[in-house]
Amino acid sequence: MATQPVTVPAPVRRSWALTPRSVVSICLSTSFVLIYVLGMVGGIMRANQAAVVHLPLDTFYSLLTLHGTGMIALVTLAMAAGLWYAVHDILDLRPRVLMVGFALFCLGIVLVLVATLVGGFAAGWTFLYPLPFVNTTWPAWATLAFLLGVLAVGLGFSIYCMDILTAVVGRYGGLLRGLGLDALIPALGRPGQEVAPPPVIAATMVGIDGAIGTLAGAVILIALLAHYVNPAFPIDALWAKNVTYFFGHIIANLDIYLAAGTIYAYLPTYAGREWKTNGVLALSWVGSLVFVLTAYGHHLYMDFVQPPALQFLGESTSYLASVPPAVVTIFGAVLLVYRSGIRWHVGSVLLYAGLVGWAVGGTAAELDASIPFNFVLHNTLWVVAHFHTYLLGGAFLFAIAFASHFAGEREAMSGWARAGLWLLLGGITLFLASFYVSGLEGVPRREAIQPAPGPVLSLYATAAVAVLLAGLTLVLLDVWHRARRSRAFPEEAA
Amino acid sequence: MVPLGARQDLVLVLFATMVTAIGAVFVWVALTARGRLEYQAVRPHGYFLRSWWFGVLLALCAFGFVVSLASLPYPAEANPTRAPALQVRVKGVQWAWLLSTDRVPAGRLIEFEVTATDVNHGFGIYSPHGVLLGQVQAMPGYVNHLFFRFPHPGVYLIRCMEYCGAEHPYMLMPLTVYQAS
Repeated sequence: MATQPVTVPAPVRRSWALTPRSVVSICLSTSFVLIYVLGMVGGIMRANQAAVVHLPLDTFYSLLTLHGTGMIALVTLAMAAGLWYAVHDILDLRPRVLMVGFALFCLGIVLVLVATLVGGFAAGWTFLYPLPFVNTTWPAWATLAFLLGVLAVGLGFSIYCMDILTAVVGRYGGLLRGLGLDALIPALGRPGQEVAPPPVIAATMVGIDGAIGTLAGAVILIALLAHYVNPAFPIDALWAKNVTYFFGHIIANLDIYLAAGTIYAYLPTYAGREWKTNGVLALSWVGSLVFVLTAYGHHLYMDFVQPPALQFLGESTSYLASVPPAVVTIFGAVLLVYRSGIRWHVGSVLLYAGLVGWAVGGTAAELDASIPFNFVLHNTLWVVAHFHTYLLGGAFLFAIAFASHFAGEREAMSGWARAGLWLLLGGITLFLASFYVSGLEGVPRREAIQPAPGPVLSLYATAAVAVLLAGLTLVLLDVWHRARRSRAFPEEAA
Repeated sequence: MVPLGARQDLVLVLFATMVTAIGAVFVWVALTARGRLEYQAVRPHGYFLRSWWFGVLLALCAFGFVVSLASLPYPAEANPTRAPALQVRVKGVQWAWLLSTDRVPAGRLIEFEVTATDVNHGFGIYSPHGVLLGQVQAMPGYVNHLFFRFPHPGVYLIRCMEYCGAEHPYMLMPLTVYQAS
């Protein structure tokens, strides 16, 4: 009997070109590889605090500086790429500009790596004046390399923000419409023009706050560079602390708002429901835009010389900052999933788990933002717990979720991916619990050698890091495998 | 484990309650996500619930803000009369604490005048059992005034709370609190 010849589609070989997909792939791959390495560095630091390994003090603090600076920059990079991809079609963004921002990011990361690992720079990611200049255990050039590195990362992010804002103005004729305010005030609208969709609103808010934050970063970094060149250049310690935390808080906080854009773009595809702009959503993003700028004051509660008005502004707006995400984005996402028949895959599981991380991390942040509680929580591991909850348990999970969606999720979730998710989420939970308990027990942050019960809790955290890295390995291998497959057989993954 | 202080206890209770509530909502929604309803049927109920949630959250923020004003650690609130039993000058230097005295009475209001000569430090007060009782920053060029009453006699520990260089973990000093006559 004659049989039909079976035709096996040949894998498509593609050369790398500067397309949206290729540029985003480069950003994600770079970010994930380095986050993985810096995660191991974090594990080594926890092992040192558990007295399992014994690092010299200056080495520990160089690694701490690298871990903090690198993780903030790299999670920002991953989420910036995710949001860029979600809006690039609507805003007609150019891959070349994203590549320029990425190149500056890379330059900055290399300088930070050299400053910390070769030069031994160890003033922390907050580089709080005058620590980078007083009785240092590292050569002066390492300080210069670090400051230039942070400046390069900031410049890369500001290019990203300005590109988005320019595109928003071009597409919608103004930033107010980019924020979707014509859904709230119809008089602002233009005839025949649709209201900006939620991911564009998120991108506009991130663009505005990111531009302001990086400008503040440039101010403090240039002041520090001037002091480096001429030590007689005067800097006021309280002013420096205000500007540094204004900059640092905005950038770290924006990671989760970058992520919100990808939630708006991709959660509806799993739930089979639409997420449309309305007046409430637009208003909530205006609220977030303001509160992200003003909430940094909670970093200075324990500086009693700070003007009381700024302390009260810091506390009230730190509380209010929780309202827009809790009422609109997180609540809206939960409502979107409720009885939706959602398709659970790596992407949707991690988007949903990341929302839990955002909510829990936000709750911990609100408690720490209360001045009487801050009196006993400030600079303890509670602070580290809350920002790891929304960066590791929130923004980073959103980044992997985006990567998984980006790689294609046509096939059912594999057993390896399922096991990886359990290990990853279980490891993160145990890891964070150790930080929270340590914080309540009064264990200070940034201590290479901790008082009791820090070492015992650090031992649990070290084991948790091993579990979460094992889970992360499985999940990332699964994503990588699917990405390769969809590159080779694009029609299958479409 | 170290027994928790009163404020830490309250934080633990509030945090555990809120995390349990968050966890319960997310688990319940995930478990019910298999069944499918049209979004048009769900949305009106959701928006109604959202307006209540908005009101509750706003009320919680206002309540938290007002309550916090009653126990601020700042000089004007902690000691409006500005009449401490003892003033102690505190200077943070890499990596030691210089105090004008290392003995203070229990039960009396002490005013710590805290500053630093080199970099930022954090003046943290730990009880003899290791509970963090309070803190203030020590900043070059500024003096922070902390009014504090030690509850019991004993050997307390002053620990640096702000990363200040390689020897930061060793920036400690015992403070003897004696029974006032």
